[in-house]
Amino acid sequence: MSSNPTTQLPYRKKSLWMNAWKRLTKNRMAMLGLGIISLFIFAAIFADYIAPYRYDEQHLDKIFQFPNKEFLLGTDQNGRDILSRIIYGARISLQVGFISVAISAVLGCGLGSVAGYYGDKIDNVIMRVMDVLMAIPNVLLAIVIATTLGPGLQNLMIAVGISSVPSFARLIRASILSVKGQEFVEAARLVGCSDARIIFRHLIPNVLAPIIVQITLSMALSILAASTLSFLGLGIQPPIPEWGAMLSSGRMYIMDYWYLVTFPGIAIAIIILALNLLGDGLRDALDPRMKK
Amino acid sequence: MLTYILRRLLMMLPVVVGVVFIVFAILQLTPTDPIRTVLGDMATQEEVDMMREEMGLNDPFFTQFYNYVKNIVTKGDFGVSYINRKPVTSEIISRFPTTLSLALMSILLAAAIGIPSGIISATRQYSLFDNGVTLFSLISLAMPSFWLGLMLIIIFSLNLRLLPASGFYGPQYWIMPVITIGTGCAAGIMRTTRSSMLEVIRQDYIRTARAKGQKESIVIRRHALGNAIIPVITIMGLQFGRQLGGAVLVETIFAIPGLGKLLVDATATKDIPVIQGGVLFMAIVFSFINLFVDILYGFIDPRISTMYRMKKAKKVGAANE
Amino acid sequence: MKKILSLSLTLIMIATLLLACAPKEESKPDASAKPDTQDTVIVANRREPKTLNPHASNDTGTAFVTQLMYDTLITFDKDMQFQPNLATKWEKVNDTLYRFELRKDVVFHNGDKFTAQDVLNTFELAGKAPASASTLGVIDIGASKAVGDYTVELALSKPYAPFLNVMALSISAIVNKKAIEEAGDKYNENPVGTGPFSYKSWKTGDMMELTAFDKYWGQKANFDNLIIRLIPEATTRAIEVETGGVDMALGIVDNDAKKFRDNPNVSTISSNILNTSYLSFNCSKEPFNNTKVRQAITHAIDAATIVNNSTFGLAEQSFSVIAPGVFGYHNPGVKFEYNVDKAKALLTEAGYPDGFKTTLTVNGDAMAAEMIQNMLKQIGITVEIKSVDFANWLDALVNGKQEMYIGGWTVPSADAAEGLEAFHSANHGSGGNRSFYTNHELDGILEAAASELDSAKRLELYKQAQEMIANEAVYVNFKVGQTHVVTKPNIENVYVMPTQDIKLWLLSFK
Repeated sequence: MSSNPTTQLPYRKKSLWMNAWKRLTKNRMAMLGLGIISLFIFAAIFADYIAPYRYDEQHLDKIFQFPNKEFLLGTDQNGRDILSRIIYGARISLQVGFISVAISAVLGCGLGSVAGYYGDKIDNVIMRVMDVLMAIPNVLLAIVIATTLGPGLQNLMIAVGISSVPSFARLIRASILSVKGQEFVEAARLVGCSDARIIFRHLIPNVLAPIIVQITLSMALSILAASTLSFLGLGIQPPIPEWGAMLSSGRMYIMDYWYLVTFPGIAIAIIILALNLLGDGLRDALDPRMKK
Repeated sequence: MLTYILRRLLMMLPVVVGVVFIVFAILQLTPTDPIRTVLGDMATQEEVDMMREEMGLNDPFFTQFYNYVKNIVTKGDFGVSYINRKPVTSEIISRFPTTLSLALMSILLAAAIGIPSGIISATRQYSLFDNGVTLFSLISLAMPSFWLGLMLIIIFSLNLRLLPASGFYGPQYWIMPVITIGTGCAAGIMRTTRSSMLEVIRQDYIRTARAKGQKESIVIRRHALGNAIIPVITIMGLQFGRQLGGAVLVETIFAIPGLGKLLVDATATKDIPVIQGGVLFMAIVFSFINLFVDILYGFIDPRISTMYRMKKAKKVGAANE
Repeated sequence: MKKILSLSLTLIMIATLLLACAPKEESKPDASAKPDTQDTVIVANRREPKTLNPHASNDTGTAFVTQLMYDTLITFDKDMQFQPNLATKWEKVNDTLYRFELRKDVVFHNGDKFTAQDVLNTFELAGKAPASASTLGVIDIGASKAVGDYTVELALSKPYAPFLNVMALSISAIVNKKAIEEAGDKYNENPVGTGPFSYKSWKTGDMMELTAFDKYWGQKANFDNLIIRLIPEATTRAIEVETGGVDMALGIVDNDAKKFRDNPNVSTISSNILNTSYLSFNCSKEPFNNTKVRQAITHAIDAATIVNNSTFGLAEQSFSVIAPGVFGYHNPGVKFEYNVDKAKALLTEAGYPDGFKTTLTVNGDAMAAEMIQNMLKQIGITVEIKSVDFANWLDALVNGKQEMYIGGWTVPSADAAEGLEAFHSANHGSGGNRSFYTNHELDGILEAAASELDSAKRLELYKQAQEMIANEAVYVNFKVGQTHVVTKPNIENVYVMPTQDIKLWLLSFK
């Protein structure tokens, strides 16, 4: 334990994250979630190698086959291997999750931190706009945006991303407001740090914890929202194997060929589950009030 | 309290106008011509243009916006549907009770399931019950609502012939849709209750109560629950608002004439007056729900009601001086 | 204490709100009827009408209802032969003049007596309404007149061979001008026709109620109430009819229809309709203006498999651009059979040895689109599918934004004049020529046929037209349209006309 006061701050910060990580690894459910997500990421990256067929490979003489040795999860209406489509679908879902949350997080945090830091009129204006966005039900906003922008994966991600901006903005604003009054900010300002420097180097690292939690939870919501939009026919262009789109095109066969719908549904459920478990675990781990 | 309500209502106004503006703006950007969609492919371009002119659709953006707002404010007229010429207000109002009752029943079911399981999970953290319930709730959160709905129809309508497959005409029609939506909401409520209870239980005053020798059930009921319930109410309010606008899939499957389906169909047919009216309506309802939840807070959260009482006492004190 | 009080107050408020808002029981349709006769028939449809004015829209959801509430002057019977309806006799006075003798005992739903003036009013209105103007605009109202109350002479602006066919379509339904003008925007709540069913109520998005018109001049329905429920989900519709929740379900999808055929608890009625579906091109854009390219693509597509797979073996393959029941139909045979090698060779000949990239615009039909995408990949053509909603699809087709597209073409008048107008170069875009095809020789043939009144000569001309279209590979034909209706086993005398009309007033119970 060094007695030099100037080295106290960074040392404490590092051990805060190490502490959190230790707590996280002890949480079995969270580790399960992390493991599952890693599995999906692995599948997404190496889909070309692990999937038995290409996702658009049609076998028109073998349509609607029940799961069998040749096609482990069966074939769909165009004779494509469902297992392969689910594996490739992981790529799409993760892409959508990451990118739309990235959009929400960057826009939301940007707006929220400006609002929280500068306060007053700017805060008011930004928060009113966020109120307006929040007043419109999420799904509806995403649908209206997606309809206007037109079909396509990118537009889907933009639509979902925009509809989640307010949650991030509010969150970061609240964190910043609570941290703003603290002493080390005063100190930094006295020393002559510029506003931007204060925001970036001092405020944001301290509000990172709830943001991280929000990111995992938002990813789950984004994947669900994307599935809903694809289900409604907005966004994904065939033959892209987005799980929600697979659900939609398979649902009229649910009575006879239930596997068209069940397996993509399970995939969605598992990834959402994993993200939520991880998010919960992160929240528990990063909460400084939790003493065990 | 009254001034608080009035102030909140006043603040709702700019938000509502903002919603109208944003939706109006977004819809103006739609690349396809809604009138062409209405008249079909056999109408000539002249006929389409003529109709556009008639409906004032070639006017500049702000003129159209101004007229729209003016009609609402002076006549309560939200326009008529492009498709079937029925007034938007009557379309929305005829469907609102259905959607409202569906959402209410679902939320109540969700609370009835979610809150008790959340409490039990929290008090028996990491037990089999806790883990099982957590897993179950996460699965139902992620399960596509239409899958559960269709499964219920297949089992209870087709195989067992116990319940009608679609419609919303009486109690036996409500059962399956409410279960479908309710289980999804229950998960969220359960998880919030659980985490909120966990947080509260760790507080010092709970430790004190236990140290004093209080019975565990009273500790939970009187001390913990009251404080833990606050975020749960927020979640319930949020979910309720979401269901009002977002239960499209369930409404489609069960052929329930609700607002969600109306809005999604209108978006597909570019029936702009309906989209605008519907979103505006939802925004207003949502704001009212938030207001309602906040007022409920005031009653339940002792900190807020104390603050209020303190303010009142100060005023009385000041008046007596 | 206070908390409990306020909580209970809130709960009581919610409960009362709930009870007050819950929909009332009275509107519940009941399909558990007595055997032998029923007083109510419940039909489940997948679309609801857009309007109740037959001239305002001719979509299938609307037409299904208007053919129940309104009458036409003449009508088709099961074998597509003309039968008298509101008109008892008709004759062609000369090439541009038809005379109709009308029934004297017809009454509108609002009590007005039907006279020849109503016929004139109807066609005056129809000629101006966007949805009906193109079909009924051929009537020259100025030169038409009523002769007394029960005879009407309709003049045409030019000779028009399929005129009588058009008179039998639901778009030529006779309306009551006074009712339309008085109601204005509220007409959809007060429609007035002369048909076997009259309007009772319409809860949009839910159901429409019609009652049998007791003063109907013709065969009255065997039941009093007709309820048409909107059930958009295919699976739910199928389950409702199987469990008896509804008496009849329309628009049953192919895989369900196939199952129902083997199910003794329901009756399945599958009918071909005057509709064909196809893949086509924007012939005004490269490379589709090159006939060889289109022919190559036709060689590359296994239409039989597409039809078989996408309809579970239920639909027939179509070989011409119009359906077999249409007057003038001719099967030119398969000119460019499925042969991948020939396709590649032809494509190289056309100047695209390495293929090219293009887009395919579809609305629904994803299964067929994906098969096409795959098949064209084999000859080097990379297809990007644009699956869009109806509004975007329509916009693309009318304005020529598409490159390839999947479309459907319905010819309700059952005459090739309507059917083949889609190939005339004057009709690009909103006229129906969505392929933007231009062929002046074909134009000549079509124009000659349009003014020709001799049936044999018309058949010969239309045969030439269809041969030419087939040789030019303007369309890759898929299937003949088919629709499936499923009913409870105690219901009979239900059949779907090739025009998709279902004459529900003829329905009877076993």
